[in-house]
Amino acid sequence: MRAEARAGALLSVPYALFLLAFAAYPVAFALALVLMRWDLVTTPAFAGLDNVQLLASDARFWQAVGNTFVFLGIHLPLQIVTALALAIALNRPMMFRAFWRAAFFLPVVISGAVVAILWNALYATDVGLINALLARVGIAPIPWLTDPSLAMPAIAVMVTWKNVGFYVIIYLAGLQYIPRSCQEAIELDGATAWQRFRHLTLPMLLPQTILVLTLSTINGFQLFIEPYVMTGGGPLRRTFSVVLYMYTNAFSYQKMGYAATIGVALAVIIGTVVAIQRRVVGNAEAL
Amino acid sequence: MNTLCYCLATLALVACHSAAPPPTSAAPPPVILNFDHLEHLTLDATVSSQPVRVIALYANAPDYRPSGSPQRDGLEGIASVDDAARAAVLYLRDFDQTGDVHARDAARGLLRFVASMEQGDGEFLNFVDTTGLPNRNAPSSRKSMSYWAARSIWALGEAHHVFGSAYPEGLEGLRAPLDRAVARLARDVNAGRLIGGSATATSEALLGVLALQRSAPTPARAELAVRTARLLVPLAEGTASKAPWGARVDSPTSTWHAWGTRSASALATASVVLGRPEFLMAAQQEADALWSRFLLAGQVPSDIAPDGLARWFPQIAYGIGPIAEGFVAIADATNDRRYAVMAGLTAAWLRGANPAGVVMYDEKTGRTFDGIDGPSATKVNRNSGAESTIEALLALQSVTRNADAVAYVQYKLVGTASSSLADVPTRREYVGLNGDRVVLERKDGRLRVTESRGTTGPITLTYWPAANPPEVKLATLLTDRWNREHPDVQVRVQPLPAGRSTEEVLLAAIVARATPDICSNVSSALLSRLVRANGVVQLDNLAPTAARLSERTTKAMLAPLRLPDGGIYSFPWKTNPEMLLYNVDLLAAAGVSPPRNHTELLAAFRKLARDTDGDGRLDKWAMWAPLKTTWHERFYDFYPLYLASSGGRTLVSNGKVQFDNAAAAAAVNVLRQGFAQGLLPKANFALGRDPFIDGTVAMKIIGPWFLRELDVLKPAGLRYAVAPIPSADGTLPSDAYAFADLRSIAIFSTTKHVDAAARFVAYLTSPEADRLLIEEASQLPYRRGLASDPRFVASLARSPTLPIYAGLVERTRDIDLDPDIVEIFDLLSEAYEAAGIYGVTPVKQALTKAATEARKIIDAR
Repeated sequence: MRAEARAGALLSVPYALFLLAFAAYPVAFALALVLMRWDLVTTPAFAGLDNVQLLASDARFWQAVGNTFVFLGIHLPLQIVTALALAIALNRPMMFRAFWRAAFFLPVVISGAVVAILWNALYATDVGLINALLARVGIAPIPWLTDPSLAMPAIAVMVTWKNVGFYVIIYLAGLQYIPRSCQEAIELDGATAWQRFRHLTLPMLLPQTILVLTLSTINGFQLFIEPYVMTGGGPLRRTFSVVLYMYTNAFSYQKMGYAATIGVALAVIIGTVVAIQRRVVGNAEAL
Repeated sequence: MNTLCYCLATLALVACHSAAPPPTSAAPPPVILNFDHLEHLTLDATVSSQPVRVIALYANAPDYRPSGSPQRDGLEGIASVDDAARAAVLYLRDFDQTGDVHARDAARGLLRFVASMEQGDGEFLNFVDTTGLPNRNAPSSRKSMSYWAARSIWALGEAHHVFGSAYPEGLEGLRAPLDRAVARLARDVNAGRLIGGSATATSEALLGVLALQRSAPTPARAELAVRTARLLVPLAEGTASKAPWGARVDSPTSTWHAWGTRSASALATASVVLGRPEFLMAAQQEADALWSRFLLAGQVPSDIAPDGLARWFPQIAYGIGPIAEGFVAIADATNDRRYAVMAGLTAAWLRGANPAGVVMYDEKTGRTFDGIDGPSATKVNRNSGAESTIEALLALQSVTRNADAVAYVQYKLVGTASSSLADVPTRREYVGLNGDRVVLERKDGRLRVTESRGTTGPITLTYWPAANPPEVKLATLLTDRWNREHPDVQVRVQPLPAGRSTEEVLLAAIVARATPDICSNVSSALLSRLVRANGVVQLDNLAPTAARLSERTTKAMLAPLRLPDGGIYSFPWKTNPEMLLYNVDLLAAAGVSPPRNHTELLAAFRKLARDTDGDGRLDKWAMWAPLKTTWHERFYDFYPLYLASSGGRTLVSNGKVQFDNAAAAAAVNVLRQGFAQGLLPKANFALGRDPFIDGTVAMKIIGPWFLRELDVLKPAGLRYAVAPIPSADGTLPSDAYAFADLRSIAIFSTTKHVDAAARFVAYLTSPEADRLLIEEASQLPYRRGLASDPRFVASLARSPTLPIYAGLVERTRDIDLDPDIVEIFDLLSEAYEAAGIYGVTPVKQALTKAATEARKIIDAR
C-alpha cells in the first residue's frame, strides 16, 4: 500500500509541478503585482494600495465593466436561445446531419482573430456583405461597427455565432439524455410541440442551460479579441471590455501592477456573478 | 479564462528578470572641440570706424598672453585677415552645426573685420595694429589679391552659405566686398593666374566661390569655379612612382609645402558642388600617390623638393590640418572610407601620434602647440598662436564630423617613422588605445586598409532591422558590404519578427535579456522607457556616432530628441514627414486647389463630397479620417493637422502637457465640422481597401513610405501630388511643422562591443547608406539639407514627390519622448473622437479634460 501511495505521489508530481508553474505561481504573482508599480523593464516598486484606489475611482474601468454587462445582456440570452434552437433542429433526423453539426462547430475551432477579421468584412459599411444584402431590399448602409449604439450588439452577435457550435454540442448531449419514455408519454397525453418543449425539454435541459449560462458568462467577461481587432474599443469606448482595458494597461502602457489589479478584480467579478447565477438558477432547479 | 491566464502567466514569466546590465566594453569618447583659447586670443577692435573682432597673432608659453608680431617679422601688427577669415570659417561651421548663437556672433564680428579690410576694388589689406590701423606697408599686408584676399573670399562665401537662411541679417555689409573680391578674383583666374601665385590661396578662394555657389547657384559663378579648379588640376607633378608623387605645387620647380595644402579639399568639394568628377580624380591623385605615402612613412614632411627629398621639420598644425581636411573631403565625395581612415590617422598627429609623442592639441584648454620645430623630434614649440589654434580646430572639426575618420584620431604609429619619402615601407601599422590595429598596405598600386581586433579576435554583432521587405533588403545589402570590409566585426542580420509590433518584440527581448546589439526600428514611444531601464547606450558621447550625429543633423534637429538628461540615446535614422497626398484630377474636376488652411480644407470637403450613383447618399469624399481611437490612428488626421499650426509644440514637453491650445482646438474643430456636416465618411472601409487608390476619397494624409505601394497598386491614369498639411487660418509659415514618424537606431546595453556597434551605426547612417535608403526603401534619412544635398538629389528625383517630402525633413516633429506618451495619446484620441467625430462633447471641454487626465498621469509617476 505504501508503495502504491508512493507511486501515486510520484505520478502526480509532473501535473502538480505544471499547476504550480502555470497556475498557482501566476495567480500568486498577479496578487503580488497588485501591490506593485512595474513597467516590465525596470525593477518593480512597492505601491501599497495605490492600484486598488485608482481602480475604485477609474471611470474607464467601470465603463468597461458596464460595457461587458451590456455585452452579456445581449450575448447570454442570444447564445442560449440560438444554441438550444440549433440543438433541437440538429437532433432531428435530417440529411447530412453530421455535416451540419460539424459546420456549426467549425467557427469554434477557428482563431478568434480570423473570425473577427472575417466579420469586420461582413460588417464593413461600404462593401460589407450584410449591407449589400440590405441594400437589395432598399435599406441604407448601416455603420455596424462605427455607430456607438450598434457596435456592441454587432459584436455580441458575432461572438454568439462563433461560440454557438460548442453550446450546441452540450445541448445535443442533454437532448440524448431525455428519456424516450417521457417523450412518448407526453405525446400520448396530446401535448403540442410547444407544450412538449416548455414542459419536458426545457426542464430536462436545465443542467445544460446552467452550464451554458456559466460558461458563456465566464467567456463573455473575457471579451477581448473581437473589440481589439474590430473596433479598438470604440466608438466612444462603447466596446472597451474589461480584458481589453487590462491588456491595454499591461502591454500598451506597461502598467503591469494596475493591469494585474484589473485582472484580479475581473476574477472577483466573474466569481461573484457566477455564484449569483448558480444560486438563482440553482434555486429555480430546486423548485 | 484563456486570455486572463495568458496575461497573468506572461506577467509571471517575466517577473524574475530585471534591468539589463551595463555594457562590458567601453568605446572611445568623442574629441572635444574647445574654443576657449581661440576666444582668449580674440580682441575687440575698431577698424575703419566700426567695431570688429580680431584674433591676436601669438600667445607664448607659459602665460599665453595675446600678442602681436615680433620685431623679426617687421612688426606686422596685432592681428591679420589671414587668421580672422579662417577663424570665421571655423565659427560659421560651428554655428551651422550646433546653432550656437555665441559662435554665430563670433563669426559675425570677425567677418566685419574681414569686410572692413577690403579696399573698394576687391583687394584686401592683411594686418592691423593695436589701434585698429591697417598696415599698408609690410609685404605680408599690402593691398593685393593674395592669400588674405583668398581667405576673405572663403570666409565671406561660407558666411553666405551658412547665414543665407539661418541668419540673413548677419550678412549685412558683407555682400558688396564679396562681390568685388569675386570680380577681382575672376580677373586673375581668367588671365590664367593663380591667386598670389599660390595653389594654396587659389584653393581657398575656390572654397569661397563654391560656398557662395551652394547658397545661390548661378551659371556665371559655376563657370568661375570651374575655371579656378582647372587652374589647380595641372599643378600635380610626378606620378605614383616618380617624385614628387603627384604633389600639387605652384610651379614645376617649386618646393611642395604641407602648409595650407588645400587643393585636394577644394577640388573634391568642387566635384560635388559642380558635378564634375574630373576634379575629384585630380584630388584623389595627390592623396593616393603622395599623402598615402606620408601614412606609410609614418609622418608628414614639412616640404618636398622636386626631386622628392623631404624635409621633416618643422611639423605644424597648418601643415597637418589641411591634409586631414583634404582626406575627409575626398572621403565625403567618394564614400571611400579608406580616405576617412587616413584622415583620422593624419589628425592623430594633434593627439600625440607625432615624432615627439606630445599631445599637440589640448582638449582642456583648446591650445594647440605651434609645432615640432626640429631638427630634433623633441624640440616642441609650446607657444600657441592663432594659426595653430585655428588650423587644428578646423581639422578636428572636419574629422570629428566623419564617423569613420574620428575613430582613428587616437591611434599611434607602430614602429619607427621613415626618414625618406622615396623609400617608404609597403605596409604600415597603427594601433588604437584598446589594442585594435589598422594596417595600410600598398599592393598592386592600390592602398588597402585592413583592421584587426586587439585581443579578442573577430566579433559578431546582431542587427535587427524592421521586417518589411525593402528594409530587410537594404539591411542585407549594407551588412554584406560591411562584412566584406570588416572581417574583424561581422554583423548578422535578423529581421524583427513580422506580425508583432517592434515595441512588443523589444520589450520581450529586454525582459528576457535577449536584445540584439543593434536595432534600427526603435520608435520614440519606446525610447524613453528603454532609457529608464538602462536598456540602451547613450550615443552622443561615443566618437563614431557623435561624429555622425554632428555630420548629419543640426542642433535644432536634435533638440526634440534629447532625453531629460540632455543625452541622445538612439540615432535618428529615417523620418517620414506626412503631407497631403491628393488626386490631381479629382481636385481639378471639382475646381479645388490643394487646401492651404482650414477654410480651404472645409471648402474642399464640400466640393469633393458627391453622390455619384444617384441613390441620395454621398459615396465620394474629400478624405477619410480613421474612426478607431487607437492612439496611432491620430497620425493620419488630428496630429498632423495640429502640428501644421502648433509652432512646433507637441503634446508633452519636459513633463508639461501642452496640447490644450488653440492649434489643437482648430485641428479638432475642422474635422468636427466635416463630420457634423456629413462631408466626411463616418464609416469604416473594408480591410485591404484603400479609398484613395480606388478614387473614393481625393486626399489622404500620409508619408512617403506609401508612394511605393501607391505606384504599384494605383490604377492607370491616377495622377497624384503632395502639398503641405493645411494649417489653421492665420498660421505663420514659420509655425507650421509636419508630423514625421521617426525611426531610430539603438545600441542595446547588453552589447559587449559598444565601440564596434557604434561604428556600425555610423556606417548605417553614412551618406552612401542614406542614398541606398532613399533608393531601396523610398524613405528619407533624418539629414540636414537633404533636399538640396547634391549627393541625394538624383536619388530623390526618382520619385516626383519625394523631393517635396525631403524638403520637410528639418521641419518635423515626432511624438514626444515621454514614457507615458501612448496613454496620453490615447486620452487625446478619445477627446478627438468625442468632440471631432461624434460631436458629443464641445472641443475645448474635451481637450481640457484630456489635458487634465494627462497631467494626472504625469504627476503620478
